[in-house]
Amino acid sequence: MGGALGMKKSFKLTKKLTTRRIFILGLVAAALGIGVYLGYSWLAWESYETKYKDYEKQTRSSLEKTLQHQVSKQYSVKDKLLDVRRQSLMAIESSREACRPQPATGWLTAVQTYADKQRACQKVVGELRRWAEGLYDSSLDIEFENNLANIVTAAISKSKSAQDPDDWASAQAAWADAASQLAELSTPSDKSEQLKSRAGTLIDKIEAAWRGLVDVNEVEDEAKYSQAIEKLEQSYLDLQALLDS
Amino acid sequence: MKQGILLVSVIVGALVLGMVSISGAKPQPGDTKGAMGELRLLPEVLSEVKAPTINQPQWLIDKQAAAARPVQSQSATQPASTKTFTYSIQAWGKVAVDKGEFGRQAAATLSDNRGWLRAGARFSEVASGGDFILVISEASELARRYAPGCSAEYSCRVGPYVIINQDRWVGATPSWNNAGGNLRDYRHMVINHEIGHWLGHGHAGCSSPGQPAPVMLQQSIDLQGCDFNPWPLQNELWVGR
Repeated sequence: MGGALGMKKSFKLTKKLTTRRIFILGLVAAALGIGVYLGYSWLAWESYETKYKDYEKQTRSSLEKTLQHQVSKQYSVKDKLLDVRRQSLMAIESSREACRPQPATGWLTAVQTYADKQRACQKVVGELRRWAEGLYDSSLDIEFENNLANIVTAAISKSKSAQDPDDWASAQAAWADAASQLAELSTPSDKSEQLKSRAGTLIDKIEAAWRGLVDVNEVEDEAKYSQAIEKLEQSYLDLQALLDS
Repeated sequence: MKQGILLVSVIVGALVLGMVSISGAKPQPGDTKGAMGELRLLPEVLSEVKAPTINQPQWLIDKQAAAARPVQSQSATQPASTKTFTYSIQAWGKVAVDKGEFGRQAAATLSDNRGWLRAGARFSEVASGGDFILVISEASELARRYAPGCSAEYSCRVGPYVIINQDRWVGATPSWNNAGGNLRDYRHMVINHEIGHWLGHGHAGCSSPGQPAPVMLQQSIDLQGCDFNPWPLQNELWVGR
């Protein structure tokens, strides 16, 4: 009986000692974990500035390299616009992550030093992103402008030899065709929409001037002929000044 | 134990905070005009936009001629009125012809009593500008600027430009040469013919074989049986301007 009691006491003591030991071991492990985590956080923030500066430098360098690439027979304006758009889009996308702290270290921005580092990053990367967005928007506007230029070039080419009355109707048709093609062009921005609207009005004016000349030729009206010629010349001058307005 | 729970809560909270995206204000487009300028095609295209030179329709030439003829019929040799037109001289392309000599010969044609002077048209050379520009042009340059309205083969009149083809000025044409015409007469003819266009004349045909050709006949191409003739005929003595 006495032996059984002794064993029971001994078991209780052992259990008490084991629980304490486990608790202490847990504390030690937690302290170690915290130590490692704090070290990791510290290292992450120490390299934060270098990383975003390297990112900014590399991204800017790639964009500048694309912009400096000379247009040639092998590398057309269209190719370059596509490259600028691709590069700037990549820069815009990557900039969203550039100032994000390493996983599980963001809470340290509660510390003023790290908050300042993040603000500095946001400033630098923000400027880069604005530049990239400007390039992206410009590439779309220029692409629209160039499509408009191609339409105008085609109409000029088709109508430049329309010197004699027999050719005036085909010149009118060429400009009517230009107006239709322009109407089908989609615009990437308000700026391009305004340009499209102005160009449309001026192209319609040229088409109307040719139509006027065809009509006057049919009725053989000398006075109206002079007016029609003046209107035609003025309509071309107006289109020439499209970008001045 | 409570401390452990607190610590875990802090860590989890921090992890959530760290994962939150950091979003700034919407940025504005930067200045990219300089960098992208060379990719714009529209400014260059627009700079070349100009109305083509329109040739007067035949009905208009006829109307102007009809309006001018009664004045001319008052006197065959003394025009009822005289108009003075100014002109300047230009050379286009690679021109081997001496521009001064070209100008002198052209002036001699224009002031000749057998020429447009009989129709009351006087001509005065000015240093630049003027009512029309008399051009001596390299053949290919003429075609480059005004094809298909003009060709590298012949001379041409486009708007204010009275353009003499250098090749024709130097060697006339096979048709002219074969008919026994001399070069000086060809030069008179080509000047009178192209300036005739500028004065409002269209092309004329040969009235009957053996007769002097109207100066507005395309004598460089075919005399149509007429005799070559560098000067305007009596029925061509009118000025449409």
